[in-house]
Amino acid sequence: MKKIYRFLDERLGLEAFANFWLKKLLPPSTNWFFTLGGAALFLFTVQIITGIFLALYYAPTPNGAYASVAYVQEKVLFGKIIRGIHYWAASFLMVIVPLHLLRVFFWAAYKKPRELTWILGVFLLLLTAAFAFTGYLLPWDQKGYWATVVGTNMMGLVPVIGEYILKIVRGGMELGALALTRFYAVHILILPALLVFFLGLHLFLITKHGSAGSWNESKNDLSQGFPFYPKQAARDLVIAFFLIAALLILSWKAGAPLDDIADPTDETYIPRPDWYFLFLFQLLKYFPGKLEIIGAIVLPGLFFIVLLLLPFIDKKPRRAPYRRPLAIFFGGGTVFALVLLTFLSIKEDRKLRAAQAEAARFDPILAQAGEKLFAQNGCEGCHEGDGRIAATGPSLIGAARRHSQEWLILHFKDPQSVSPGSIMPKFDYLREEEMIKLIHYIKSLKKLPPG
Amino acid sequence: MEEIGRRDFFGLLAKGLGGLISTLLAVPLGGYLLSPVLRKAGEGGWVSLGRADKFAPGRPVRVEYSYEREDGWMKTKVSRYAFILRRPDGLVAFSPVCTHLGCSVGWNEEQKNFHCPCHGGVYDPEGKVLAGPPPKPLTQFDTKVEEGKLFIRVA
Repeated sequence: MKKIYRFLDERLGLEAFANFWLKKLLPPSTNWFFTLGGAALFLFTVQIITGIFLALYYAPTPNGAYASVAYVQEKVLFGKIIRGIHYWAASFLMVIVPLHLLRVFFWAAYKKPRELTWILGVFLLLLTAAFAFTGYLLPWDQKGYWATVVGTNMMGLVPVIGEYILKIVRGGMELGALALTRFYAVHILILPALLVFFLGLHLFLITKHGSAGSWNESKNDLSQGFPFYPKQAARDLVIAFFLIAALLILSWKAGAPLDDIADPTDETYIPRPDWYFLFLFQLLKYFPGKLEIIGAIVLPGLFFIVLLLLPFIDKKPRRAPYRRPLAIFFGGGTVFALVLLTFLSIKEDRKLRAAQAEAARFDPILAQAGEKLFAQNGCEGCHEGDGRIAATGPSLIGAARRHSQEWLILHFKDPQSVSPGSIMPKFDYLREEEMIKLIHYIKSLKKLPPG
Repeated sequence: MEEIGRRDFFGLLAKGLGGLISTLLAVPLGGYLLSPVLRKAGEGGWVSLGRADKFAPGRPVRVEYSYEREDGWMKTKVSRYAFILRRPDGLVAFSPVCTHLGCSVGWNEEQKNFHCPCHGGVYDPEGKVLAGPPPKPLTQFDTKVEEGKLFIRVA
């Protein structure tokens, strides 16, 4: 063994390599907070390995993608576990990478001479998000499909060139086979190549400049320090152990979700991004219509420009958080805003789903009573009842899915108030219970089979 | 002295955890990779090759057939062929896959034997090796005759 090691060392310089990466002295103040970067590195490694294994089965076509992912999930030994790890590690990365950034931010470790390490780190955060975004579509299920429809539409909001961007990203106007192969190639070829490049440089610079240690420079005397290996390495590995244990338990107990196969004609599906993009989704709600571009492009863009330029905005050498009130105020405010937006989005979705469940509720007895009212009030004069065509009014099939109960009741009372230009007369003499009966009747209407 | 003890402890901890983490990952990854080996071969289905009485004794007859095969996550319609020989004791169906390295053998009518185009393997009409590198005679399908039709069992 020793002989082989000496042979390789003389030719490869193993000793020097180990000295550079492992024996580097850390400031004595280095503690558990400094394991976040290592945790991110570990998770990226896990993603690369499990990603390659998933690629052994994955077929990037609309028909093949869903079937091959389901096959991995159901037929391949440990397939559920490997896919589960890949899925959950992506979520973990979307927590750990920002936490690592926050740690560096609050310790002000981005200051001279570590500006480039920081900038590379910001790009790595963007890459993490890009991985998450492109990976979401690949199973070609409802969740991924609709989230990507919405996500890519946001890119179309860019002024002047938006439509071109959209076409380049999707390979055309529609989200279909061409988009899937694009997302696949970006996810498994382009992003990993960029990741290896940025991560390699990032790690090199971290080791070259050493850890910034405590914001209290008097605690950073390297002569009192200790080498990365074994103490800090052991800490990193303790964290890695808990991460892999959590990933295994989550993939075993919860697995990775696989919705129904993507159905572009399903108008009842509520598209939602995965939880880590909910803040952006919620932000968009506050910028309706023409203002949407502010939430979709301007604010996120500004945020990243500020992040990138942070080492040059906050240049003074002082590092303690209490001596940087402005930076801490903005940093803390951003975190607060992101958490709040995510929380609000979850809360509003809960309401929306409850409303959808209400709309889906169907009582056949009410529908029967509604059918009588439908005839008594002459509705059939304009609308088709059970498939009979009467051309004046629009088809009512699906109307109770497209509109809420509140909307439909307002519409009965005064059609023009919610549907301007409608020629339907007011039915304000009906009682609300009667309107609800009519709504249940409308819910019972289904398309008759052709012919 | 105490300092050295601490270093040893961290070194052992790091190595132990490294090994444990690698094992925790290696078990599912290894199983995943070995999945095709560990999967039991399916029973296979019976495919009809048409009426049994159309095969006259004398020489093997080439018959093409197609069937739907499970191909991982998809089903594919595949076309294959087999050689049917009528022997006094019944019908025999040979797979045309050379037992050497899997090329497709053809029937040579002049020499009345099977020839493999890849490495010159030669089989007699009964599928026995006459020349070349094949280590075994041509593989025979399981066969059955039901209601006058010949069936072979495909993988």
